[in-house]
Amino acid sequence: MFRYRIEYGKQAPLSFISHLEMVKTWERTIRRSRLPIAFSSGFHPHCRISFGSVLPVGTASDFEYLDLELTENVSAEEVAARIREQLPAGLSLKAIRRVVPESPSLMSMINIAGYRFYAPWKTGQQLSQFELEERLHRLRARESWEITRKRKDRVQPIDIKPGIRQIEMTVSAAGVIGQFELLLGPSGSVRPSEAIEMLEMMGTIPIDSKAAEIERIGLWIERAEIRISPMVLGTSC
Amino acid sequence: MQLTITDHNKILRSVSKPARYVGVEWNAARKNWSAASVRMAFCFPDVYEVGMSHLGLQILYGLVNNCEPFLMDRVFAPWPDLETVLRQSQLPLFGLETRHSLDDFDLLGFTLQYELSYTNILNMLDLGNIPLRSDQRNDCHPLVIAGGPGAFCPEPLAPFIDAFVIGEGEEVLLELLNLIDRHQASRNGSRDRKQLLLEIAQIPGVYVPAAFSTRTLAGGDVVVDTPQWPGVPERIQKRILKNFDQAYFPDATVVPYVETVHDRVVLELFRGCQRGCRFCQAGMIYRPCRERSQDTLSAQARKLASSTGYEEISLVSLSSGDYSRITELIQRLMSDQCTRGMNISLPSLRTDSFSVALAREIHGNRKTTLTFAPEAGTQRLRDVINKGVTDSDVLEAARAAFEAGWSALKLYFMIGLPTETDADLDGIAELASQVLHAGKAVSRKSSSRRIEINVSVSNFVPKAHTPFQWEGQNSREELQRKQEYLRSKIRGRNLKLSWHDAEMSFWEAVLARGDRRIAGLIESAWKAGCRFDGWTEHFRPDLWHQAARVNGIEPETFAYRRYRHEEVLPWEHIDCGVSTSYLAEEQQRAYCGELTADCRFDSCSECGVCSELETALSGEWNQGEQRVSLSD
Repeated sequence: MFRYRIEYGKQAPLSFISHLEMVKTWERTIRRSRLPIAFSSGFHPHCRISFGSVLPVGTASDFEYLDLELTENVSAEEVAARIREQLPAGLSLKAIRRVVPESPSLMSMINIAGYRFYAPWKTGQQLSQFELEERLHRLRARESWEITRKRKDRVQPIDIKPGIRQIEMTVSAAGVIGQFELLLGPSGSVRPSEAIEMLEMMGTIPIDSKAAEIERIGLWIERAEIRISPMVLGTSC
Repeated sequence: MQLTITDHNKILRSVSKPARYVGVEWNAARKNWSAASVRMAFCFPDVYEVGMSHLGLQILYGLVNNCEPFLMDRVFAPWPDLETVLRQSQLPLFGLETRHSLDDFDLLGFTLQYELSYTNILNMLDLGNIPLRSDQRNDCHPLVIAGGPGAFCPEPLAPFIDAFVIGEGEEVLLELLNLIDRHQASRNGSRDRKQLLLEIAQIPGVYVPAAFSTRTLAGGDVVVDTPQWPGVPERIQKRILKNFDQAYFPDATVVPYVETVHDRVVLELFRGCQRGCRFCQAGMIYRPCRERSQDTLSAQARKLASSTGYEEISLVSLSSGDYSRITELIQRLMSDQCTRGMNISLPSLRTDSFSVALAREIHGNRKTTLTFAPEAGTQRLRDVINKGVTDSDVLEAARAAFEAGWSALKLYFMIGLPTETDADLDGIAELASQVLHAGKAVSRKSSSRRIEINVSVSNFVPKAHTPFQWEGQNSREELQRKQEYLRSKIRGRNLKLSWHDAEMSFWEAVLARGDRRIAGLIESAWKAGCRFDGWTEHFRPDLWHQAARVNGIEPETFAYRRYRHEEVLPWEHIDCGVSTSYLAEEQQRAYCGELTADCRFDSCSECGVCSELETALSGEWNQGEQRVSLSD
């Protein structure tokens, strides 16, 4: 098996297709490219492609990752060229590297996601940068950031504070531009929309969080306060 | 107007399944708006997932966009969440690719696949800022046309549609577009609506309701009378492709992002069906049977496999197992370098062991549910409907399926058929239990897999242009009583019964044989809020009944009506090629339980279609392969 890692982007309007729809889109793209893709064994063979972290519907990103396995040794440049020919507009292949076959999966390594967002002011309301910083300061001082999450029929309270860090916001005439990082873990993680809603509700920042435009600005592997890109760890030339 | 990217994104952000409306699918044409001389929108009056599964859309879309001067975009009925957003933000319904509002197009083409999607047509016109009624539109409004099986009984929609296309659309649509192109070119891009309709009404196969006068009979029936415009025939004869083998078929179909009902490569093996089931409209209006050659099909499969990246090929037709060289075709697809490894599916199998052998060949170890359609429970009633299937065919097919490893079978029946009695319902229960016993016997011998028989029961809806077009539908109460009766007879942990809502079938019947009075009813129902009537969660019979009262219509007189042969039918002016005398004779034969053979394998039954349309059956049934040549 020959394993490759791809860094790709997903921009509007394709940012509005779901993760499952995107998985299928990649499978069909690779089938069209006629690359010798490896299949899983079993009754329902699947293309051996594995993805990094699920990107929420409606979120654009230039920092998404996937690993794919081929049965033949094709140069990384050729793999990239053949995929680019078949990739629909809105998805873009940014970079490709070979991966050491025994390297752990993307999903198990990636543990930090960075987001940037823009949210408009609620009609007739606005804050100065000073007022905004003050509210952020008060928010940070709270012990927990409790939100409610709907799970099927029941609503359960959950503290999202441990999963969010590095919140920064700048005011503009039309709204705020903000940035934060979310911790990804096997026990689930905070959704970016939840973080922004929390800023509106608990931080009393008068933004329309439902109308926020969100972009993912990075996925990283962080260990002992050192962060590196998935394109570095486990890859070879 | 063209929707801005900002508005488009705003819409995408506020609906539950935005991938329906992104409009940048792989193989989408995305033609240049200003470079096109005629711009058409294919309008599907149901949700994206249903519409994108429709082969007719893919064919016409490819056909029109292949022509340099023409542009075809796609529009689907907006799901209620999108409708809310559009109305609240006062944005028009738009073409998926061009984001132009419906009233920017020159031509809108609706497909009429199902009666209960008609309110969606009005909703789409309204959301596109187009007056609902043809006589309210001016020279600036697009021309609104409609085709598909519903066009064979056009009157319920006649006031809303400028022109209906009767029959197969591949040739006539291009004639229409060329005519509009010439018309607009000679007028600096604008249209003279009245003049254009006069010209269009001359195209064979096109029915322009405004060209005809109507007459109200003593009993209140509204019938279509004689043509008032020059060059318009008394009856509009359907269009048909004489060389189906070489007819246009797309090399690259649009690949949706949302999972659709049929999300795969589709090959059309043949058009038409001669089996002659007496309730079946498709079996009458698409005659005669015309096959595509194996070479053509295998070339199409190769191209489509590489242009789409799909993992499955579906072989579609009205009865795919009837394709004369079906085994050879499947083996060829399974060994071809381009299509090897792809799953093959046969959505319409006949009830015989040959079909089971076919299913076994293509499914291997993947056992999906197999469906057989005996349609009726007793031999007597199956003879009445000319089904040509016996109890032993059903049992043999079932046994073969169980032996091949299937454990779940679906049996499809129809209730409310002409001459049906409770004994026929007993027959359904009896046949289901025999199939179950056959399954249990096989499963005792081998492993101990749990056998499951799903009995699915639909309600007979009389359809125009069939031998049963004169018949009345069972009342809703009677259908419900029959469903209840079956529920009491079909019990047990291995038997499951499901049925179609009687109220829904009732309204299907009202619309399927309606005359022009039904148009007002549809409009009132839409105004009252009816949308997506074929969807259980949206169907509002209370609003339909209220709309009927407002219009002074008793819907029962349409659904339950038994026509006498001498009466003028609301679809009399539409000629599908099959003669009325043949249909009447078939109705008589039904009452006598006499079978009529399939003319592909037997002598001509003189339905009249070949001589009327100056065409012929085309296929290789006579030189057909041995039907038992499959490996064990």
